[in-house]
Amino acid sequence: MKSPQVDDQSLAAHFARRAGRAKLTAADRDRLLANVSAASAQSTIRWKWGPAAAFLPLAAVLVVGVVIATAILARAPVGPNGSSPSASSGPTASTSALGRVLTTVELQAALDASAFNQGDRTVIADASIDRTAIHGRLGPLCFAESTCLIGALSGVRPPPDRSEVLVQAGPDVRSALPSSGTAVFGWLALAIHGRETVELLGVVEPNAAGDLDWPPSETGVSGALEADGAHVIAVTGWLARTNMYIAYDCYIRPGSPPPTDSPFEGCGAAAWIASDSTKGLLSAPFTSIKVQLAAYSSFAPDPEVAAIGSDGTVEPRFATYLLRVIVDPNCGPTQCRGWRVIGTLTSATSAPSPSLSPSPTLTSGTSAPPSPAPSPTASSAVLTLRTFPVWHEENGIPVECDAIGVDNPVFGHLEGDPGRPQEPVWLRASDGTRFSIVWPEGFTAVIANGAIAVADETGTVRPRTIPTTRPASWRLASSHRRTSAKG
Amino acid sequence: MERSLVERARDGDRDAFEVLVRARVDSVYGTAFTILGNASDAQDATQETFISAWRAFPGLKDPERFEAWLGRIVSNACRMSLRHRRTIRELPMDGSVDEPAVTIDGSGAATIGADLFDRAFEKLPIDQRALLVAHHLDGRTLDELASELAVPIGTVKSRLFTARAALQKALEAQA
Repeated sequence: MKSPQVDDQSLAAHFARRAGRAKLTAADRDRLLANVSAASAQSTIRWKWGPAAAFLPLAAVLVVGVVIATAILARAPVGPNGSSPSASSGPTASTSALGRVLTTVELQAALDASAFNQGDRTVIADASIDRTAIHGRLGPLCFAESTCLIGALSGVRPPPDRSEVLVQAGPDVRSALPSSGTAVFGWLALAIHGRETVELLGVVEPNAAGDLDWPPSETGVSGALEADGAHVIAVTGWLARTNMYIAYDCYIRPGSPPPTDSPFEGCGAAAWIASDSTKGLLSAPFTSIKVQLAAYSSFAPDPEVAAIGSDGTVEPRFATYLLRVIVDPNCGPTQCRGWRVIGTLTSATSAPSPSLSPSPTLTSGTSAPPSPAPSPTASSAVLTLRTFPVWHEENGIPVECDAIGVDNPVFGHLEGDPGRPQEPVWLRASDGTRFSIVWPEGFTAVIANGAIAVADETGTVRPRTIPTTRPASWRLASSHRRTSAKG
Repeated sequence: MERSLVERARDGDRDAFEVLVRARVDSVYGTAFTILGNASDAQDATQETFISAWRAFPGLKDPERFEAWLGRIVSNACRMSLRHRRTIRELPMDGSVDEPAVTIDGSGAATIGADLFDRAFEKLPIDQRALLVAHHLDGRTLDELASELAVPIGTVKSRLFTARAALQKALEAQA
């Protein structure tokens, strides 16, 4: 038998066959056109600094309708027989990224809400700061703790007795900003201290894919280490620290002391952000992002205070944290660079159980409160899927369970059981082996009419089980997904 | 008329841009789907193509080359889409799994089944997929591809040969 050969004719035929399957529904077409239209209305490339004053806000008003609509549709239940939600549902990757960043309209809502809420809020908004607004201003430009006015938020409504919403910034940001008079716009990390007081924490640096979240690993964020003090990154993960009372490896280093509130301090004690919630460690995991020791008590949602005399283990807290580069100029011949946590986007979202990772929830002025936990027996429910590897102990040492499928695809049928909220979906290989799956961040299991559908981070339904007697009609190839066997 | 629309869009006319988008959304989606083999990714890539095109429009020097220019953006968008989605890959069954991977005709020649071809094709890097699709589906000539990629024709030939060889190898591995 001759081996199968590709020739021009067969190539054209196969491509024509593939193209023939490309059926864009009217609803998908309309949604796609609406998204393109909204994005083109924005008409800007997300430059960090620009000579012009704000012009993003007008476009943001146009795009907000799309963002809100897709956010609502993304929560729509699956249709009969576990079918996909209506074709118009589910934001695309692009719109979901926008949905996690407040538009000017949403920022306005957050500002309005701050008049009634106690406490600060930290948000990321696609906004602009007009730095010409403070020219000629009478009165102090700098306040306590070295925060100084740098401009005014564009496109938002000021309080009744004010002409603008002023923005201040600390020395790290100010020293790296271009000269005054230059507009600052893009994804801005803002701390809203009140209706009249907004602090620029930094311009958010997108990850390599142009999205918001950087991975919670030291190597994952290394690409941003050269960022200056005016830039921050957003990392979603577990913040934890060692117990200060069992710190070890303490030594007095030569030279001047390290910068305060930096990861270079600690005398053996450490704080870190990691992709998993392993607790009780005596030092930061090698792969984690080391941060200042005080980060846990200052920025972890609902931080736990370890009692003296206990084992001192603190409960890792899951959130989206804002990080800025901090430099230790005394560290050897070249400068050492590390990370300092400067804010938390997520409000009180510690894990509901040690084995389940909650989805991050950005603080948003217009976002709805989190839905109550679904009942596994409900006819329609959304369950969180595991997005982190399983760990077990070997001789007291945490060990990650074997992961396969990273390089070698695993083929099988997707199976699910709504009665197993801890792991509602798994993979059954052809030889009967059952595999747990580490899903991408943001994936959920949607249960409806006895079927289980898996939705991605945009709400788009992915492989699903079918509630009939025939086998599941989707195969899952996890060639690039971590698929871990039981530990 | 077409040139006028392209020029107006290049100058920032959103109405003209919308006309261009509406006229091409299906063909761009078809190309993206052929390259990616997945509706969700293809929709992302299609959307990203037009958004990128709008942003890059001021850099389009020759309106006559709009199609080739857009084709290059489609390839880039497909690459970005795959990078964004590389954590998941779906293989819809669609009743195609039971078909033989290879059928033999009377002369002993092997015909490649759809499932086998799709699996092998999706092993290729996006650039190779895009090049094969541009040449064998969209019918772009070597001259056009050379112009689009800003490389000599010989390089296009070489890349096409390499892509074909890679596909052949993937087919044999999958079979």
